[in-house]
Amino acid sequence: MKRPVLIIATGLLGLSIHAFSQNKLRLPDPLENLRPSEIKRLHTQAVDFFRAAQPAVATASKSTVSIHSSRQRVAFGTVVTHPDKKQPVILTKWSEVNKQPSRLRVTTPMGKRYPAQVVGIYPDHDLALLTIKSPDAKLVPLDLTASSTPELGSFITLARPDGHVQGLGVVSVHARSLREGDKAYLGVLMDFSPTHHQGVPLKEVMPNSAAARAGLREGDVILSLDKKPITGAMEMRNTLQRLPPGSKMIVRYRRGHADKQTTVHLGSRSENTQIRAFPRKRMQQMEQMGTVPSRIRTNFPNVIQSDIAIQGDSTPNNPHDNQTNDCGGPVTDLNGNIVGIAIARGSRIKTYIIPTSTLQNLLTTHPEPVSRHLPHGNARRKTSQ
Amino acid sequence: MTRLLPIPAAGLFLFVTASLTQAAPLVQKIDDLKSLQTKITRTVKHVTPATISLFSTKNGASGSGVIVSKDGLILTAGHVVRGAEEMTVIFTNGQQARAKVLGAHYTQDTAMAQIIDPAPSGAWPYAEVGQSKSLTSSDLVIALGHAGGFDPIRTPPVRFGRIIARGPNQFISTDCTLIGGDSGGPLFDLDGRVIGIHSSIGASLSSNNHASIEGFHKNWGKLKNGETWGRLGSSMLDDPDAPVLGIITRDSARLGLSVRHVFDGGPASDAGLRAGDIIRTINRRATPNLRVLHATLSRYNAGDSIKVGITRGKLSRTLSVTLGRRGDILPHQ
Repeated sequence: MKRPVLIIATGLLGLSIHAFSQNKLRLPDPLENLRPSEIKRLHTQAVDFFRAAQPAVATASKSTVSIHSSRQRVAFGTVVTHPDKKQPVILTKWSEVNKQPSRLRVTTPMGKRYPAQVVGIYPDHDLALLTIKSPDAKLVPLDLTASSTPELGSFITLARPDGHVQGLGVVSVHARSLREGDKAYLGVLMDFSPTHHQGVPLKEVMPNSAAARAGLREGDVILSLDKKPITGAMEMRNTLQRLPPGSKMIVRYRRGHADKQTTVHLGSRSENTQIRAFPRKRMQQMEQMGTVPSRIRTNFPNVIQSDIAIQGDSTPNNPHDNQTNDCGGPVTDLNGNIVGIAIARGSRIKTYIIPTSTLQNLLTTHPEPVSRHLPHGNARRKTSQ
Repeated sequence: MTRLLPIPAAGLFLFVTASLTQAAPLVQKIDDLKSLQTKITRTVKHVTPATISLFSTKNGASGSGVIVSKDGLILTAGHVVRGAEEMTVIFTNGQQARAKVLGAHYTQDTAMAQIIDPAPSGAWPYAEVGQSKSLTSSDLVIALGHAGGFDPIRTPPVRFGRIIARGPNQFISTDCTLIGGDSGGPLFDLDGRVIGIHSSIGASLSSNNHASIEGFHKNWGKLKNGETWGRLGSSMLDDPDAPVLGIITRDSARLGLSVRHVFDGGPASDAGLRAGDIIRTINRRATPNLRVLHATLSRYNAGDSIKVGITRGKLSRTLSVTLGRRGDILPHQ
């Protein structure tokens, strides 16, 4: 659900493009066809939901800050403690603050503004560690031990520094790695045509792959993986991708008339399988419909997926429209326990959140120095707009 | 005294109808959200196993679907099954089974398929079928679907939202955000009953369109019997590279497919096909109905040349047609 103020803005202004463009099947933007009373009902309902959720962010809001660069809010930040630092530190989204990292300003929940310095980076998570030198900033660190791993479909909220709810949605997918390298790789091309027999014939075995090293050859028919019978290629792929790279697996297969067995040491999956659900270009187009995805939005080692609609207002002529500025703040469950930090708008359907447990582990490690991660000039950001 | 009785009864009745139109539970306190959450999480747990991915090796199509009976009847979208006669069903646990495509009503983007493999435990996981007649804007709904295609390390993403509006051709729209791969996936009411099937998206986050379950109810028998009819709209979730002839057909004629309209400048028009012609074969394969026609076309790519056998009145002819791209004939806006 979108933040109510945005519902009004997007609902009533300038949205005419629609996928259904054919004569009889033309379906205009659904909001255009509603009676004023229905629009009011939808708006009131959203306001009610956001207001009802407000107690959930009461504590988290006190540890939420706004981060400004060139007079614009570029992100939220979450105040935490770090064993290396005496003062509380602020975690935020690195790729949103790296344009002018030396000229950042932080607004505290009390409404005061201070200059801030980037003191370290966790590049894999796109997180930056900020400090405020001024002793009177009175930052309140978040208690990450009051953490929560909510069930699928549970409500979660994104806190704002002013005690209101910035985003409300549900848990879409439990925490997982988005890295291809975290999936196991066997190194075979499977025959995907549905068969009436048991087993999956191998169309090709990649040279130097885990499969080749274990002695598998083109034409072999895979019968079982770790004694689990395999009925088709999709099932085999799914079994493999759930295993971590480096796992050992007993593969039973048929070669000619002989049933054989070998042990495979799985490699790391370097690239996706040959099956792509959608042409990449069209998927990218869809990802941006109705939203502005973050520039850095993939390859996170561990993230929860939610349908929280952060930013992505498509109001015409709104200069703030073109940017992602809602990342970096704390996400809570309805009891106010910390689910994690919003790290990226992935597409029109998803927002990624780094889980609290990952943050806790991360904060016991040393961040990398900033100097190593500064973008080469400012050109990179400009060209990507 | 007895004459007074109908009055409170009528009053009670009015109250009941009023609360039916206001089906969405009122949420004003955090405890209201918590009880709603209990309902949503319970429903998600129950219906996730019935939410499947559908995949065709023949045409490379990939979408979602939902099982609605223990013997494996699947509801999905018309554009997901187009061009396929058999599809691979992938369950959230990664297992697979084979399904036969039954019927499709393209205009409403509804379709059915049937799992033909026996269920390992004797029954497939399934969701109840609901009603969409009385749905009204602000009713709360849950969407599941294999967004972006099946992903073994992820369950189908849960999305929560409201009914926004009802559209023509039995479509309903919600603010449960959808994307490619979700097509054919289920929209549920809070009790986990299927009330719609994901069909298309528009430019805004409030523009997610679903074929309502009412469209299925009206044509249940026809769909289950394998009839394929109607015409697909141009959907963002559909494949623009699919090969097309550039025609609209009528419901199956006895001897083949009757051509209702030929798009000017399209491949069929260039080859000399006319409205009223009956398409009997493509590359000598009989085309008795729209499903077979699409299945046949899906073996080719846009740009390929095919031989279309037609009858025009008493004449039989074979025309050579160079297939076009769907996206060029039915452009997206």
